Amino acid sequence: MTHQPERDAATYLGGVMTAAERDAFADHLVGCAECWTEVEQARRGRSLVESVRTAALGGLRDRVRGLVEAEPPQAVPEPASALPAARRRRRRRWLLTAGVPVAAAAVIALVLTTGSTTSEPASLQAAVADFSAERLPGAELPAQRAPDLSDLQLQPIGAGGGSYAGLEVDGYAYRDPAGRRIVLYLSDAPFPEAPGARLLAGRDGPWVVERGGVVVLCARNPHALLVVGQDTQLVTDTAGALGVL
Amino acid sequence: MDDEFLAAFFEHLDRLHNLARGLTSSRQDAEDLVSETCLLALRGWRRQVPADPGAWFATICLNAARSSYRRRAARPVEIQAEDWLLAQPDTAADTARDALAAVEARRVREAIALLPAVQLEAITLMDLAGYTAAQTARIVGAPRGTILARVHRGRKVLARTLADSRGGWQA
Repeated sequence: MTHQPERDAATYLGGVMTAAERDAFADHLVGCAECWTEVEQARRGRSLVESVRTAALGGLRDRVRGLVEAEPPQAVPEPASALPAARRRRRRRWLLTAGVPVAAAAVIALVLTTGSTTSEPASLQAAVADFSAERLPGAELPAQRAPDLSDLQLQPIGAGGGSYAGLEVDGYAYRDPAGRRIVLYLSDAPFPEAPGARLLAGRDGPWVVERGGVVVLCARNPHALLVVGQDTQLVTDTAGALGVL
Repeated sequence: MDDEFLAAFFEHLDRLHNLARGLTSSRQDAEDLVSETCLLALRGWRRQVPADPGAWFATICLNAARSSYRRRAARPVEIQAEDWLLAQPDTAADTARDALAAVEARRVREAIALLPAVQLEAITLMDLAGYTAAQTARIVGAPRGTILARVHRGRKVLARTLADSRGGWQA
């Protein structure tokens, strides 16, 4: 194992070493000033944070109890079978995860077209408008956690569910270190195709379109998904990482 | 069903309170965040009871906090002597000791608040709220190794920052 004091100390303190690794590192630690400093500083930092832990006051407990008691019982949903399809989706858990090699998407050269917007689907208009205004579809709890896009250095900055023209949508917003934003919009029902969209893989495959500098890539299988951003390559890489390209 | 929710939420309330306290700049904001988390979680719970309520509550709390990061970033860090005021001491000695402790706690909280967002979240989840590295990785949606690196760097920054401000600590 190469000598990487920061990584080794983080792993040691994180308790994720095997017993043998832990013993070996403990032996190494006493003779290595660099690793010793890493561990000591991190322990000190941890201890400082732990020193400001507090218990919730009784007032907060009362407030929580009051909130639960005041929440209208009609918020309890009807049985799933009685719900319209669009509302049942929140019982489903999407299995959308990142992890497909990005290189697969990189070979796809997107030729974007603005096309006609005279019959633009309202859901697409709403998604583009919300992206531009840095808004999420709503404040509902999304059906799943934000997919991990850290391989693309995209960090989640917000998530929320709502409705676009009757289509229930969960939005997941990300930003990379350069400040570029990507928003994923997920739904159980397919997003209507935009006029002038470029089809990437036949009638049922993904399509892409550009609206006022905003690139929208829509996948239909295996998930109804919009990937929205201003950087074409980042949009493509994101779709590739999610396995929809 | 709401009774089961309340029991589960109360079981994790101290953790959530510490998590919210680390993600916000005042006790009042933290209590507001916990309240918002409670309502969002209740509505979700009524739809489906989660497999791991503790991690699920934390995820909701984190997402709710993230949506207000931008507003929070525009505000200066609030300075409050709240911990001291809320824990009224009985004697003069207690007064001095508790006041000093409150000052120290405030400095630590201010230093935590100045960490980069990804380090702040990871440290708050692990060291303040007590979630494991594996739980924190699931809550944040990042690999465990990434979480450990963020926590480690954040801890070092805090140790150095607070050592500098006290003028006495040496690495």
